[in-house]
Amino acid sequence: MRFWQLFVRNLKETYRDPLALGFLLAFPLLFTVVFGASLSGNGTPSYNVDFLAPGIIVLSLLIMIPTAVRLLARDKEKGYLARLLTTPTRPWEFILGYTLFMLLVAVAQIIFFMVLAQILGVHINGNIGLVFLVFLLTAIASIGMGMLVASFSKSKNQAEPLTWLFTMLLAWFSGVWFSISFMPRYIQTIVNIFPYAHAVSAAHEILIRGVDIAAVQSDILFLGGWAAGATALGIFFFARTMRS
Amino acid sequence: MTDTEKAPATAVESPRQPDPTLAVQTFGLSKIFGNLVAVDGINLGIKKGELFALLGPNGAGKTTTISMLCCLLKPTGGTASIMGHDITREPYEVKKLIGVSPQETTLSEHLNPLENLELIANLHGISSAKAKKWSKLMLETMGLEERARDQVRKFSGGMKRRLSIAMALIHDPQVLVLDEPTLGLDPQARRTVWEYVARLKGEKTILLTTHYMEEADSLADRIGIIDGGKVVALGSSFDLKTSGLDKHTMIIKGWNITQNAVMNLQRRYSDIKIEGGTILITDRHLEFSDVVSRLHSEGISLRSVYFKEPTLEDVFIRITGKELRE
Repeated sequence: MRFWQLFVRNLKETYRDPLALGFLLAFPLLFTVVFGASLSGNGTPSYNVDFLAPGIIVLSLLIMIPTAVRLLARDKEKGYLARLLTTPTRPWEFILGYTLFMLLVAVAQIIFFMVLAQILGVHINGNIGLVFLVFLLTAIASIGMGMLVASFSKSKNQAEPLTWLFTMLLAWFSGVWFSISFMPRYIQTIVNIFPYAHAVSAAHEILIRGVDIAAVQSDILFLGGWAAGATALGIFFFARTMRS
Repeated sequence: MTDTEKAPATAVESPRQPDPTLAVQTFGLSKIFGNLVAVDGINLGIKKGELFALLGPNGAGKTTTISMLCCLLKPTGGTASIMGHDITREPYEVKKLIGVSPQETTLSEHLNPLENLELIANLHGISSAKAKKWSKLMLETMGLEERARDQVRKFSGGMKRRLSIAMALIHDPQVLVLDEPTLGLDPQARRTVWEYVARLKGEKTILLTTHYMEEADSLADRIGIIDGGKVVALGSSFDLKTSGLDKHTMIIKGWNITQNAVMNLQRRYSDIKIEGGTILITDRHLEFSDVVSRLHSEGISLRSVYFKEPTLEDVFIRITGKELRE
């Protein structure tokens, strides 16, 4: 069970690292508190904490991209991965050890922010399981993208800031803070290529408007496609770096 | 080993028949990155139980060679075998037999030393109970037991390096690979690492890379000098220093060295230098008794007279025409 040993190691490396924990929890939490507080007044009914909750959760899942890059690129750059590769561990065991860990972080984040949303007074009307599926597929897509970036990055210092920039831009244009319907059509077209606007929209529909799976079927299929594609590419290229 | 072998200058395809007396054997091992020939057809044989040092300047091809032997890089040409297993065809068999301490002290910084050791042991397929027991023993051996519960990010460079070597040894490998084990350490920490490595001599086959001459000189049974991706000389430290040495240098220190005394010496020896109160004579046929009697006849009272020991640095300069910088 080598993958399990790697999973445990990654878990310990992260929860003992204040910086990693800060990125994973404190950063999205800060956004939640700031936006929650600023919208707690008599704002317009269409732009309140209910509107923002799905976006904030998607933001935390977007942060899984730099998180994955940070973990993988750091181990790769520092030569730790090379050290592990001198043991008889197989590439699939490495990949499973890392992805399982990131998946656990993503699930923990989804649960944490959904509970927080409830505490902050978000009215959850829809199917929790369905919205969980939307978030999970989004998280898997983020992990896959993170692996892909880490496969091509030479160093953590080079990869991490670029990924943060990309993530923040994506967050801005994916309807995390305001509806993408305000944006010009060409931006909407670009944004819709990525999974996050679909995730925000589907989560909003399910959580707040209480729609069923049929209404968000196309979004879920799109997210599923992204999750499968990004993971397959991430695994392929990351495994390739291990067989240099 | 009585004679120093001059390694072939070009890649030579030797028969790929593993020799059972050798722990590590390379057959025209090469690695090319783009236009750069990092390793150029190395043919080496390291005996079982031998401590072999690959000595060379930065960028000579030491780490690339090691990376290929550890199955981290695929050779562009040739191959190698570790305890009879081919590195390209049986990488997982090779990985079971080797323990590697990389050049950079790569540890899991937020884990404590026990957790670091146990992880590597587990990845080598050792059961959890055994891994725990062996890790404790290994920490004691390396003198780190008092820091067993501290995260390794708080460790000094020397402690990290000792832990790194312990991680390479945790599964009791047959071949230990130490890539620049004392790089960046202060002299005291370096000596401590040397003591640990010296203790392992004879127990394990050890392949060590270094660009510190002193390290290769004091630890290795045999040394391979590598430059520009080629092994340019091979032999024991003594063999390397003495073979091809056609001139000797004598260092003379006296209380009252006079011009006449120097002129007397110059009648027989042409290459004489005077530095302060010291005379340096370099010659093909230096005779101790002749030098001493010439100086005595001039009434010089001598403080010391000795032959200068050749160093590996001298050997390196003689072979490559370059200095081996630390």
